[in-house]
Amino acid sequence: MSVATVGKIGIGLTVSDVSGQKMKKVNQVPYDATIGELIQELSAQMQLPQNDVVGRPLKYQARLDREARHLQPFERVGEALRNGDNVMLQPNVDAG
Amino acid sequence: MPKNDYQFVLELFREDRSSVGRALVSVDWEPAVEWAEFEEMRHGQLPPVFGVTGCAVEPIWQEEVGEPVVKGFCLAFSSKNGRAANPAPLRSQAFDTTYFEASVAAAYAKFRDANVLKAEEKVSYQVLAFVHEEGNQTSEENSIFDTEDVAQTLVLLPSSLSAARSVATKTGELPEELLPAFVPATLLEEIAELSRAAEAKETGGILIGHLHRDEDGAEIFATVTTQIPAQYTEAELMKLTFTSETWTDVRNALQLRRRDEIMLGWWHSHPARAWCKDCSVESQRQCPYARGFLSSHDRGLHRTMFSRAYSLALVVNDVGFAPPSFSLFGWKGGGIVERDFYIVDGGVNAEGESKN
Repeated sequence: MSVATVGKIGIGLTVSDVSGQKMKKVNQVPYDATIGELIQELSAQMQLPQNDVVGRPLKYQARLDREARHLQPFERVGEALRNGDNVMLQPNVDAG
Repeated sequence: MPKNDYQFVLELFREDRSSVGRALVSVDWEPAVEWAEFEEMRHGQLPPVFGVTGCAVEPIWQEEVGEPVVKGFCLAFSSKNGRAANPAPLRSQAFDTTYFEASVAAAYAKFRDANVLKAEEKVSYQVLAFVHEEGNQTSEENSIFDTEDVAQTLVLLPSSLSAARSVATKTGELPEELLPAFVPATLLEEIAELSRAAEAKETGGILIGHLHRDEDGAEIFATVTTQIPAQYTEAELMKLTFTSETWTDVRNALQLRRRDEIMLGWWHSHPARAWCKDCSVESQRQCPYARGFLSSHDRGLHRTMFSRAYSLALVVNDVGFAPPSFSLFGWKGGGIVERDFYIVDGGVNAEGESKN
């Protein structure tokens, strides 16, 4: 059975912003969802801006502290994450 | 995201009051929600816990004309778990239509680009609100993921505001409605040195510290204890990029300090001495770059990273004709404004109390 067909059971995560003061519990994330999909959905739900001041898309990265690394957007949740993991959304953002 | 049963629409008018047209408004409600919720926490109307309160947008109709013309809006808060002591929603103070100014600018640009408006043509506007015919779903309701907010308690140290004020110097007349903020003089000196050391490039860092609840009243106030220099940034003459690695480094530093400090805001430098090096000293004195300001990018960063209503943005103005000066900005009514603050002589300890 491939990871993608495991179905809708999925795993539970917490996703937070950089400050750790905005946090979402995400239930039953499908194993075959990508990290990119997770970032896109959760950044919107956490009311994080999707574009910078000139309209360019803001790039958020997902940081997995357990492994001290940034997750790649193409990675699959079922392969990269474990139940109970905490993922932090961190942007590259400009001051001027 | 607040529940919003209304579609807000802008109508622009020329000086002769002829209509330019209408434009749908895409409103960033988050700063208003953050501001209103924190205000209720400050005044003891809501517990200092984020993520447990639902929120809905309610238009305030203009009395003379009535619906659908609005003169502003308010936010109605209610408990998400239905166990609120008072089941009636708690309504925030009113926000007026200036909250929609970013949308007005976007609508203006749209009409100008379509040659409906001439460049620089003056317009006025009114805001309308119509009930969504098909209902309005929040991003949570539309999501492919099943999510729920995690309650985040705002840690408020019991402290004396009057004691904090007694060893501090106010930089100006602080409006009563703004959160009192205390910054150590030693920290300002450190930031000035870092700014000078960066020479012709911007530099910055994260302000960390504590929030307090006044023991003698209900007021909340902020004390900045120190700053964490932003590492892994990309610095240029007029730009400073905070990268994902920057935030990881800051969080690691906070954990290593083990003082339960939170990110209260950020600072960065404006190396005006380099920007204006080819101008005369007199021109530099008159130059708007010599005064503290937040650029549109700075405001965007503050919105992205520091949307909590207590968040601060400090700018050090490194000019060539005088010692560096400081400008502090913060949230007010969902917008970002320059504000005054208290300078603590002699610095503060890890709890944000004066060392004097």
